[in-house]
This record gives sequence, structure tokens and C-alpha cells, in this order.
Amino acid sequence: MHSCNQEKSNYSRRDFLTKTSLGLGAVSLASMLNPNSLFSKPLGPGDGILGSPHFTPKVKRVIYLFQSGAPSQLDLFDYKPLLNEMNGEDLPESIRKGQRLTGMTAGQAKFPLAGSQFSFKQHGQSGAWMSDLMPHTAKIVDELCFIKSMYTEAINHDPAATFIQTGSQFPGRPSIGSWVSYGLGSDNENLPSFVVLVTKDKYGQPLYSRLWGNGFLPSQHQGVQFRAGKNPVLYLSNPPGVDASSRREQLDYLKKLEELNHDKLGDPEILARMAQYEMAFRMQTSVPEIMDTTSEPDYIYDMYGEDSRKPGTFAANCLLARRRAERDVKFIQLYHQGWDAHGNLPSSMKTQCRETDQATAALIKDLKQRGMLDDTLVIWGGEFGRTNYSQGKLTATNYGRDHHPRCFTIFMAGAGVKAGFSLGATDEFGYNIAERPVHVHDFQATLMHLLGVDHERLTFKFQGRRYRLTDVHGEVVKEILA
Amino acid sequence: MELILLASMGDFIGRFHPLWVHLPIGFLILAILLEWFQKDGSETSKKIINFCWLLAGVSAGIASICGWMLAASGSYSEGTLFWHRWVGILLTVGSLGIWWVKKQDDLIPQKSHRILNIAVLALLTYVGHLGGNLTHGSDYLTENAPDFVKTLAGDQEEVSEDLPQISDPDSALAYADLIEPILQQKCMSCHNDEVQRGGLNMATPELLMEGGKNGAVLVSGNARESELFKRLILPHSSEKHMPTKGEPFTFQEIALLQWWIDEQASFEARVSELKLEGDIPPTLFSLYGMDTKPKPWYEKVKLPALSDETLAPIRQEGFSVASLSTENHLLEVSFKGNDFSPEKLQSLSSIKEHITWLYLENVELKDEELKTIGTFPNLTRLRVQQNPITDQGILHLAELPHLESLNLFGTKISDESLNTISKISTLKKVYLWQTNVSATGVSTLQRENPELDIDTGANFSPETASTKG
Repeated sequence: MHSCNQEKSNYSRRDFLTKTSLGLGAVSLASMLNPNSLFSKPLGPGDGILGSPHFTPKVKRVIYLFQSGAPSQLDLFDYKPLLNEMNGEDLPESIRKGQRLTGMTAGQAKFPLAGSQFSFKQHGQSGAWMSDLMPHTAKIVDELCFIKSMYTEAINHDPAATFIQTGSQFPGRPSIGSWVSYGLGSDNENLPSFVVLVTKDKYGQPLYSRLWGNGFLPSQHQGVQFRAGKNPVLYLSNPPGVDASSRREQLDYLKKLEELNHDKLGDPEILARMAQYEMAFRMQTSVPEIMDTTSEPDYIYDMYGEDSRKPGTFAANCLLARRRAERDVKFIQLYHQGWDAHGNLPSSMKTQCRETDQATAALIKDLKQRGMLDDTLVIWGGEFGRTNYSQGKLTATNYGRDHHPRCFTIFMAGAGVKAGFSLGATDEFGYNIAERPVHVHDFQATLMHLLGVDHERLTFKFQGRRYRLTDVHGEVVKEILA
Repeated sequence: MELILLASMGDFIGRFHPLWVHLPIGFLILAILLEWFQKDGSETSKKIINFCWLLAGVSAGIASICGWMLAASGSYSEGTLFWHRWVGILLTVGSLGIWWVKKQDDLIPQKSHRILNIAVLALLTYVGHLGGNLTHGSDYLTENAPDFVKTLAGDQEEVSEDLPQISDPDSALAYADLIEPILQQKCMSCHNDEVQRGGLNMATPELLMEGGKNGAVLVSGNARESELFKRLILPHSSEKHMPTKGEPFTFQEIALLQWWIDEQASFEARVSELKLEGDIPPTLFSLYGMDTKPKPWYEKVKLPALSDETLAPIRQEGFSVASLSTENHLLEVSFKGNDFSPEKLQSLSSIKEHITWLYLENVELKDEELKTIGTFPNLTRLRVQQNPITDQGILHLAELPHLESLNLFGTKISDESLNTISKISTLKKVYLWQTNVSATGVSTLQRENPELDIDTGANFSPETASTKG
């Protein structure tokens, strides 16, 4: 009885009719058009659902340096001298226009404008403004493409991070990396095409594995997290006493059993799980090799900074990201927490920038000298921006900034985007967007475009309708394309 | 002097047409209504009715004269105007005729009266409707009507809100594909076959060149002298600013129109034949999605797809082989296997036309093997970094006709190779980190090829030992 029900739930009358009538018709039509498709390999790592990209990709792999907690654009990139002039004055209602604030500052009697305490200078040929918080990145601004007019719909970390990573504020949708893996597959059969590195021992807004989850996509497309330490990928190594050959034997028998199971139930997740077992087996060899950075020369460590010798730091992760990119991992997602500066912003920003600035710049330079920036895209940014007024008391040396979804800055470097370029602008208060707003979905559409994917044509049918990363939104930001 | 006065008097009086025209409408309806409801047939009521017909005839006459003068200003669609003019005059004459006949003590039988009245009402409705169309445009009446009414009225012409997206500047026509869609959106609702405000019809290039009642609106090669452009950049408060209603031209649209007129306002020219400088390429990109940048070679070559059977043995050797996209069948090839060998490289010769991106990094590639690669006709991107390649090998690459990017980082090449590299005229990028090239060699190369992007690494020092990452 039990198994009877299971079969029923996996294969409805509707499925039967669709698959036998429409399905057979489609198969015969497809094979008439392209005789090879009948014999094509089953899906697994290495084969994206799209086969080939929709159009020639400019970007073959992405390194996304996600700055969790939302860095203050006003203290890094978005120079607003007016805020210094009006330091301490109340945010004019004509600028705020009654927009919602978080519960953390909505009750404040005053919204004192807070000019940045860091000094700004223009850098490079492009003349990009940068504060002195990021001296290393300031030296490579001519490689960077800034979007200063990003905006999002969410006002709190969890929904905003989920939004920029999955295209929806509600949990449960696939992460960008999962869509890329699903659509384009992997270029290295020994490694997953979507990997995740989280800076160790950082606190602040929590990160959760659903940010790199596969949602409703087959589960081999979820991001695989690598950790610093003895077991980079949890549960990957064999238990004591089990060697590689017996593991292989076990997997072969398991495969036979699972195939029987699949024939009976037709559940695609069985295939997905087998693909993951096989990937894990191959990773037992490939992972130790890519985690080992002892072959890196000293000048590379010097370039990435002293931190890069300490496993688990952002700098060490940047170096690992480069090594993964060299091995054609398609989507490498880094997370660095701690940017949520509601109070004590000056001191916490200094710490955050010290941890990330040098390694970010080094990664971009290192990719460039290896010729990899030709087809690798580096992205740096958080989930939203921060307010131009101080949360809590504004003093001569101290202030904090609340969440601000109405504008924030991200930058990219590398393939397919203009170097030494800046798109969009905020008003002189740094509160509203004055020029060329770029929505999170537009950013995602552009990212997919660079990878050769039409974001409107990479879809997955789930619960009766087709979903895509940008859902029903998103316009490619053509102005930044090189 | 006198003539000008007369002409402007005509324009002045013509504007009274809408004022007068409503009087005969009222009088005619009043006359017919009274006729309908008068039962006693008394002399007094007959006199009143007759007087109404007279008033209708006279006011219609005045309206007709004003109308004639208004029509002379020339901004109305000929077809509609003809019927409006002559039916209006017929009504004038008819009203006066009826008045005269009635004065002769009723020559017409009662029945015919009814028929005559209905005919007058029908003509009145018709001429009024035409007048409305002339003034407000033929879509005015049904513009806000529910959809089914629109369908009944056959009124479905919708101007699309978005500009068409055009990809190829070689085939797109500057006027028909770029300019006309803008004019269609912003101008043609008042300058078409139906309505010609100011006498200007933009429906065809010939009519557009003809201009309006004040002469030509286009001066080829000189936007600043062209009325069509000048009117757009007048202050919005000016009476002459165009368009008078609806969305004004955007900055980009004005720039594009100016560019087209300055480029001789040609109706036949293709976009790529015109000068594309300054803001024009980004404008074309953002309005039409048209990319006017020179395309890389791999976007230009069109080759048929290779079958999986052809590619299978090559994949068997350890190469990863993939089409650039579903539409571009050129191949990206990289070596993923173990134990690279010259024989394995030979297997690529069978598909050499298709290979455009070739990645053979860190596979112990030797000088000899570059000879094979040097014969790949469509190769645009070659990555052979971290291989024991010397100057001898680079010589084999000199004949590659379309090489755009060459990665030689971590090889053993020296300044000698820079001479070869300098001669590859299609080359745009070259990577020379951790090679034996000298700073002087690099600066000479840069001098000879100012456009070439030469990368020598973040901390260029030729002495740095070659290392594997």
C-alpha cells in the first residue's frame, strides 16, 4: 500500500498523458531537427540544461565577494561633501519624503546628517572618488566598474541578502550560482561548479546555507561550502578504516540499488543524489589539492596581505578563490560578515576594510596578470546601503548608520564590463537616486547576460509555473557592458 | 502690403468658424423640432418656424465663409476637408432654399417635410463629425471609448511605445529604422495623411522633404537651420515648440535627429555608413540596443555546427570542446586530460577552422607544437601560459590572421619574440608576466603598437623566477 501511494504521487494521470502524447511528439520532432539529441548524455555535472549559452559569453566564471551586513557607501565610494557641511543638521523632509525607516531609527526625534569622517580623494585616470579606508583598492580604480545607483526593495538583512542572492525576498529560490550551475553546467568534472567560502570567526548578521541553496533546482546545483581547517568540506573524507577502493565498491553497489529505485519511482532527486555521491568521491582527490596553498610563492602572499597565510580569513579565501577560478569553477561565492555599522561606524569600518581591502585589490591584480580577468568577473558589494543620518548620537568622532535600501554602491571588475567606469549617481544628500537607478533584478539580469544567458530564457517549472532568477523583472544594464 | 494684410485678415476671420458654426446647428435643430411638434398649423407658428430656417441659413452662410478662410490656412487633410466644405455649403443653400419655398405658402406636401427634415439632420451630423475630425484628429472621438466600441469603429492603430531593437548597424537604415520610429511616436499623430498641422505631412520621405506651409523643414547637413530640429529645442513655453502635446523629445532623441540631419538627412544611408562618434554610439546602444563597436573576429565568422560524432574522438583525447553559443558554432577548446602530447594536439587539426579560443596552459607545450597551432585560421584567443615555450615557438604564430589575445605568462620567451608579436597586427592584448622580456623591449613594443594592451604583471620584474600557482 505504502509503495503504491508513492508511485501515485510521483506519476499522476496528468503526467502520464502529457508525457505520452506531448512528450513523444516532442521527442520525435526534436530528433528530426537534431538527430544527435536522441543519444545525448543524461544530465549531470558538466552538462548545463542549456547545452550552449544563448549567446557568446563574455564571462566564463564569477567571483562574488559578498559583503554581508551592508557596507556604508557614504564612507567608501559615494562622496557627499554636503553631508559634512550640514553635519548634525536634521535630514530635510523634502529629501526623505516620508519613506519608511527601520524600527531601529524610526523612533528617533532627529535624523542628524552625518558627514563621513574619512577623507575622499579622486584616483586613477578615471578620477573615481574613494575614501582613504581602502588604499589598495583605490590604486586599481581604473580596473573597476562602479554602479552607484543600486537599490533594493528590502530594508532588513535577511530579506535583502536573500533578494540579491536569489531574486526573491522570500527564502526558497535558487541562488545565482545554482542557476548558473543548472544552466551552464561545470567546466571541471572534479569540482562542483558553485562553491562557497565564508570568512571564519566573523560575526554580525547570520549567514545561512539557503543563501547558496539550490531551491527547487536539482540538488547537485547547490553551493558547496569549503571551510578552513582539517575538513574543508564536511563529511567528505572517508571514516578511519575505509579506503578509496572500498568506497568505490560501495558506491557502485549503491548506484545499482538506486537505479532500481529510480526505475520504480522516477524521482529525479535520486539521480541528483547519485551525481552528488560521485562528485564527492572525485572531490576526495581534488579538494586537498586546491586547498593546499603551500606552493604559492611569498610574493603572492605579500600581495594578498599577511592575513592570506591564516586559513579562513578573507584574504586566504581570495587566494583560494583564484585557485578555484584557475580550475574553472564557474561561480565562486565569498561571504564576509560584519559590515552592519549601526553604531561605532568609524572604528568598525576600519577593521572591515583592513580585512578586505588589500586582498580584494590583490585578487583583481593577480587575475589580471594571469590573463584571467579576460573572462572572469569579480563583484564586490552588500545587500543594501546605509543612511546619510546618524543612528543614535552623532558626536565629533562617532556615529552609526541605519539600513538604507534606496541607494547603494557595488563594483565589478573584469570581463565584459567597462573598466574605469561609473554608472548612476545619488542626490547630493546621498539619500535618493538622481541618475540611472539599477534594481537588484537588473544587476542579476546583467550578470546572466555577461555569462551568455538570456535571463528570460533560463527557467524552471515548479509548482505549476515557470520560475527564473529575475522572476518577471530585470533589464540588462547595457551602459556598463564593455 | 495690402495682400499680406488681406491674407492675415483671412486667417483672423477664419478662426471665427468654430464660433459661428454652432449657431446653424442650433437653429436647424430648433426649426425641425418646432415643425415636429406644432399641431395647430397656425400662421404664427409657421412664421416662427420659417424665421428659424432663415436664421439657420444666414448663420450657416457666415460659418461657411469663415470656414473657407480657415481652410485656406492649409493645415487640414484634403479628403475630409472636401466633404466638410461642400456638405456645409449644401446645408447653407438647403436651409435658405427651404425658407424660400416655405415662404411661397407651402409647396411641399406634409410627408416630404418629414423626409427633408431627416435628410437635413443626417447631413448636419455628418458635416459636424467631419469638422470634429478635422480639428481634433480622427481618433479623438473613440480615444477613450471602451474596447468594443473601438473595434466597431475600426480604430485599432496603436503606436508602439518602445522603439524597435535593432542589432546590426550594417543592415539597419538610418532613417527607416532609427529616425522614423521616433517621428512616428512624437510627430506623426498631427502630421499624417489625415491631419497636416502647418501643412506638414511626415507619412513618406518625399512628403517630409516637401515640408509645410512655411517651406522645407529639413536642410540636409545642417540641423541648426532645419525647422524640424529647431522647433524641438525651443523652450517648452514657446508657441512654436514641438511637439505641442504629448511627451517631448528626450535628449537622446534630439541628439540622434541632429546627427541624422547633419549627416545629410539621407533616407537610404545605412547606419554603418554614417559617422559614428561622440555620444552617438552609446545613444544607439541605449535606445535600440545597437552595438556599433567593431566586432571581434569570432562574432563575424559564420560556420556550420560540427556534429558530436566529429567531436567525440577529440573529447576522447582529453579536450573539452564547446560551441561559443547556440548561434555561434565556433569552438572553445581546452585540455582537461592528463599527459598532453603532440599527437593529441594533432587531433585538433581536423577541426582547426572552428577553433577560435584555445587554452593549453601548463601542459608542457613545446615550440614544435606551436607550428600546428599557427595554422588555425580563425584562432582569436590563445592561452599557452606556463609552458616551456621559447622565441623559436613564437615564430610559428606570426602568420595567425586573426589572433586578438595571446597569453604567454610564465614562458621562456625574450625580447626577440616581441618583434614577432609586434607584427601580429590584429593583436589587442598580450600577457608577458614572468617571462624573460626586458622593460626596454616592452616599451619599444608599446611604442610600435600604441593600441596594444601589454600586461607585464602587477610587480613587473623580469628576474622573478617562474612559478606554478
